[in-house]
Amino acid sequence: MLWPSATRKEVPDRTSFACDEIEEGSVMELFLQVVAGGTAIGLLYALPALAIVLLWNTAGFFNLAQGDFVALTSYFLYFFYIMMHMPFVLAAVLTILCLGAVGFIVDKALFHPLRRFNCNPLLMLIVTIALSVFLKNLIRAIWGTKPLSLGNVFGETPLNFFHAHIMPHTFWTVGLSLLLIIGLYILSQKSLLGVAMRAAAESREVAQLMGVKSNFIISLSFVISLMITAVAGILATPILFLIPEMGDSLGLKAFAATIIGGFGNPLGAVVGGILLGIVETLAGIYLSSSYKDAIAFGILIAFLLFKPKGLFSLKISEKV
Amino acid sequence: MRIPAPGSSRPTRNWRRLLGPKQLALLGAVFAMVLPLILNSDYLILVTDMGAVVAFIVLGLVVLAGFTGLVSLGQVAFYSIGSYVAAIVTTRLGLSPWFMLLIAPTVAAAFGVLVGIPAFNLKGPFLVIITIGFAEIIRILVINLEHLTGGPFGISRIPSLKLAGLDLARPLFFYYFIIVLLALAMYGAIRLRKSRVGRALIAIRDDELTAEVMGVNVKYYKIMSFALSAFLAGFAGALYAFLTGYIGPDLYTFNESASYLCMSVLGGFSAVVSPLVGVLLTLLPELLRSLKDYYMLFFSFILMVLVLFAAWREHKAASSDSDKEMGARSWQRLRWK
Amino acid sequence: MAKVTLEVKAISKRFGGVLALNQVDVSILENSRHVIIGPNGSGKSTLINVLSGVYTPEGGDVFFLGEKITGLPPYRITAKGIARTFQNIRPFRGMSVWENIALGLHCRTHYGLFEAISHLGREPVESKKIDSKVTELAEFFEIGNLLSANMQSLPYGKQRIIEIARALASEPKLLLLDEPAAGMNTAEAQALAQTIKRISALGVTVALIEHNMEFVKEIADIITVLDSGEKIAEGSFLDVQSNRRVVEAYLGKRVAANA
Repeated sequence: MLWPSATRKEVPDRTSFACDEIEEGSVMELFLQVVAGGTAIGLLYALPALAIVLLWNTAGFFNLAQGDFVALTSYFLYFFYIMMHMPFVLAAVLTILCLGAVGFIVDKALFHPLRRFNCNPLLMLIVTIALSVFLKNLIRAIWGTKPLSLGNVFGETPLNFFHAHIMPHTFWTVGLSLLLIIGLYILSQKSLLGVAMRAAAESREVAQLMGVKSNFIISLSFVISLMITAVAGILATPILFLIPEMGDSLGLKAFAATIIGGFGNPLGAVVGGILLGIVETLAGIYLSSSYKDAIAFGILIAFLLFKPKGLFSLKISEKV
Repeated sequence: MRIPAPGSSRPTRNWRRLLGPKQLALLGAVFAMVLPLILNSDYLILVTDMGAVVAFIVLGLVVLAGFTGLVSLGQVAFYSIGSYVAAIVTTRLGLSPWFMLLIAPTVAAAFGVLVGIPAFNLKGPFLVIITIGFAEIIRILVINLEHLTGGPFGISRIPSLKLAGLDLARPLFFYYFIIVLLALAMYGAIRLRKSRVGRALIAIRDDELTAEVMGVNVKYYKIMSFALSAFLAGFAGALYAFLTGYIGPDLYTFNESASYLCMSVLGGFSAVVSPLVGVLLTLLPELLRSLKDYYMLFFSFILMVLVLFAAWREHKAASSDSDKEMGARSWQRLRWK
Repeated sequence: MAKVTLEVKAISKRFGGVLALNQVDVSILENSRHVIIGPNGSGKSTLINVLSGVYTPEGGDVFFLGEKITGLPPYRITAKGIARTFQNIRPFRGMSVWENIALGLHCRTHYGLFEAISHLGREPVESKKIDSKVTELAEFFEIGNLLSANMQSLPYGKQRIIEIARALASEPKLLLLDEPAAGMNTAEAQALAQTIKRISALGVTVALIEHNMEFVKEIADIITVLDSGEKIAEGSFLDVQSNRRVVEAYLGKRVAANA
């Protein structure tokens, strides 16, 4: 099939959820499918959203290149799984490690020096934009612009779940994502590291006085945020076509999730992502598939206008 | 390249006086006049024309992001609106392209106001996101409203501008036409910066709350900035449509917005340098054909290095301050509070 | 009977669970030098923020020259004639000293975008007005030689003075200063006191917050004392100094009891 160049960015995601069989006349099954599919997609937005919020809370800046790191994950995964013919799990683990390494390098080379130089927030934002452009072009330079695909990793046959047919990918996505989120929550509440990060998020100066090495924490949180993003990328790749710009749409939706859920609130980011996923899936089925994205962005804008603090907000006020 | 302070003057060194702004402008004008002769190729002149079109968009960003501090990654939407309004009205309704050169940007400016009104409350990254979202919505609408915009196939056979018997779609004629307009626009931007309005914008960028307390109607000026930058982008869009005679949706992607921002930043958000950087970065990949695919990679990397360098310089300057209090407070500046 | 420039009636301001101001009444008389003092956290800066429109109070009203200004946005209040400085200096770093002061004149000069770009209309006249006014202010504050400097490169004391100049540029009838002498040594504070007296002599009513008691004693006509969001005393320096509640607020009950 010929793709007109205009829709180059409009490459449709091979959302397996849309391919789920719909049994005749059963609202319950349809409901389950929408919820399952929507939640899965939503979690794929929620994880990068969580990463963004984490970084914002500890480091105080907003990584606009988050979507492009997802893209980078996908391409690394493609490299290990398809080009190097490694088994999927090994490829996934290597990808996560690689993203961690990339995060380390980017932090040491770019963000850490900028923090040390007390960089103006405007410039910081612009740096992340430049990084985003750089990553896209790097991917393009290495892998080219032809859409790539991973093939169906998790299996083609839908599973029967209360008479609704749901793809295995959905299960894996929901399962692994929730596991990761719960794991992170436990880490943040129970472990010393988690407490340190939360302290740094609340007040960097006080945390420093208490002996928390804030620079280390910020670097660490950047690496962690990238690894979370990597997991999302790994789960998302099987259902997407890989093009250098693939991160844009996903990144924007991850931002939307953070805002809808209440900026600064990690739980809100997760909930926001899931909500966004479900609404988007519903819109895709009942309204129109081609306007699906526009509707998602419309929701984002509506929130920014009418409820900028999101659903569960944390108060941040400026002392004058 | 610090976040610009074009209005603040430092004691000039002697060589500066020799090459003052007026002399530089004259040199620039002479160079611009003879550039077509140097390029010696209709194709390259056409590319330069396109670069000059981009320069208008970049100038708009200089006002919006450089002067007022509102970073937008959605300028391509106004560019697109300008092009499509110009194209649709001239091809469907047969109105004169000259007329559309005024109307299309005005429509774009109206959209600018539309974006600016809610956006006035939003800080930094939130603003960027809303501009990205807006641009995406416009892009999707353009592709899907096929009966109006021609969908993926775009609009063709757009009439060109004719002046005194000359067809301005000819690259050479268009060139002289557009550089005069661009020079005027750049001059206008410089005058804006030096005026009361410019001061208000910079104040908003530097410290919005203090600006408001000092008597600046922040909301009004933010909206005005959006409208002005949208007007310039829409103007560029109309010009492009009349230059090439064909427009299509793949000209107006997010990548373009990102590169406009990069161009503005590389030029130090200067009303003169940034637009010229825009022309250069449009022309360069054509001149260095072999590197064409890699030029954005290269330039985004340079941009990051430059920002690092600029931040390093600021830091060195600030730490040699006798005032240590400022250093302690600069941790606060990292946060968007 | 002196005219009242600013009437603050029963102002209350709450932040979440904290009642920062509780039914505070203050009258600032025309051309007076009115100082507000109180221990940290007593609500002084909050009061100034309410007066300048930065915060909207939950209860009460503010009247300026007889007109109600409660709830107006800051730029409108400034246009009406109230100007202020901040506790932390907040210069516009992207502009020179000249431009910072000129910005203060923003609400007193009027020309728009088109006139700015084209040099037409009201612009030439207004520009001259800005020029002369900034020069005048520079002379008054003796900073004429600093006009082309960037704010960041100047010493702290000078930046404070420039901020006051910037506020004064808007031709206010009431000038609110939030800890203008903070971080100054004795000599600088003395000079500032004289400057404030000169500003007073111009006919401007001055209200300020301060901690430096020597400074306060030097310039104050009337002092209002706040503690925990409430007004606990008002009067001349001597009145307030010997007021038991004031001593308690600063030094604690036991010291006051022994005093």
